[in-house]
Amino acid sequence: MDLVIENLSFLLEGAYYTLLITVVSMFFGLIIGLFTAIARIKGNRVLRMIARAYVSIIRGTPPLVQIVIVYYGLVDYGIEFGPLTAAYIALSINIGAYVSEAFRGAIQSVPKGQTEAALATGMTERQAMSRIIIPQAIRYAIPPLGNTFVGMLKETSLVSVIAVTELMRSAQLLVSQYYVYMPFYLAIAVMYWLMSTFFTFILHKIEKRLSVY
Amino acid sequence: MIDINQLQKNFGANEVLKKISISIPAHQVVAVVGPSGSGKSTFLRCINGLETITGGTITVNSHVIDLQAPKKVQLKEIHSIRQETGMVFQQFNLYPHKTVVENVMEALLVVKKMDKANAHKIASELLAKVGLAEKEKAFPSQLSGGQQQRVAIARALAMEPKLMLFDEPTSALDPELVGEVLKVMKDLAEDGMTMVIVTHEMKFAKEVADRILFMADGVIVEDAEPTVFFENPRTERAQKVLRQVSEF
Repeated sequence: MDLVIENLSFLLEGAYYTLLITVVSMFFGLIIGLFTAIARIKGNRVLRMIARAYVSIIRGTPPLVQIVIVYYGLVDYGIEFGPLTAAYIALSINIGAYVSEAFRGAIQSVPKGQTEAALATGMTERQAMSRIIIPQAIRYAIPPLGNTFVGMLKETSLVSVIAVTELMRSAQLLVSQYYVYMPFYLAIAVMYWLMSTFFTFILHKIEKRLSVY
Repeated sequence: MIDINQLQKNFGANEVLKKISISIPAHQVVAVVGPSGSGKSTFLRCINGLETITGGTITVNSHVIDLQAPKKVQLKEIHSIRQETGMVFQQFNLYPHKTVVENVMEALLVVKKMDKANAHKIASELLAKVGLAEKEKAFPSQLSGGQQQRVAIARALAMEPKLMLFDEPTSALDPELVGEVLKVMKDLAEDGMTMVIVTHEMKFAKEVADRILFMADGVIVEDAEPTVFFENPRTERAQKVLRQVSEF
């Protein structure tokens, strides 16, 4: 326990990276996911096919494999990223697929009458989508997105394999320095749990706030 | 105002509208009545392009929906028709995430690119006109069905349409709320608005409409003035429906 307190600042730095990777990946994941969802619903055949293939491949392969492909695999083609950049890219692409499913479900749960009402007032399909459908869909999407976000937070531990010193790797480094396992692993478990709980709480607040009408 | 020529609409193998031809001049109030499943709503929804037609042409204010035209032209024509046509739905379809006044302002901001102050002014006037001036800041879910439908009418009027389409505007309302909506519609008719109203409210149709279209099985069976239609329906179909209605 003393060892953990002694090295707390090191672990906190790891936690900072865990948070950073989560937030950055989620941010890009949301953008990718939104466009993928729209492509799947409104796109032409080619776009729909590409979007479907993307979601299917990402959901059908382990995130660890995706991470090593981006970091190690692409080097063969002369594409090299720093560990942190590779983590952002791999996780954004990964999360984008899950986010797109959440958005797709949410967009489809907005009643058809809403689009019709918007079109009937002279809006274009695009205007109806951005002004009427998406704002409502976001409310429907918040609970599944919250789950995805918390899932992401935990999944970031995987990027420890490409030498990003986030929370998991911070603990591993301390373990190899002091040759004791439990205190460090237990400490990061608690830290993951605290972060997950905190975000679940925040998301719950947002959800409540958005359900005013 | 409206010229419909040989309009056909199929849902798969099911023929819903069978070569309907009809003209509606400006300022006329037309009530479309008939048994459910007769194609009334589909007919109405074809006029502003919410249903894609299978055959024939629809002309509204010199904008033509014609399947022979290139797809792009068709879309543009439909878009032009919608900008000049207001529509009121059975289920109101108000935007639940926007307040009452925002619902009315929305198309002005997005389609007409009007600034907020002007749009707000127009929206307030229209809400006053439908008797809901004090509900501006409410959300649709806080209103009764009748109030929601009046907001929907104000929303449709905001674009200054030349034509108003009503798709069973009172069918989803509790009986005691029907009157307030019909009152607004009656005022509108008296202002000279061109209106096509799909309805089951025979009394209202008789009182307000200039013309009754009786539809059955995808065709217009009778096209007559209300007095003629209600007192001397020509076809047996119409006689039967009117008898059923009068039994209530």
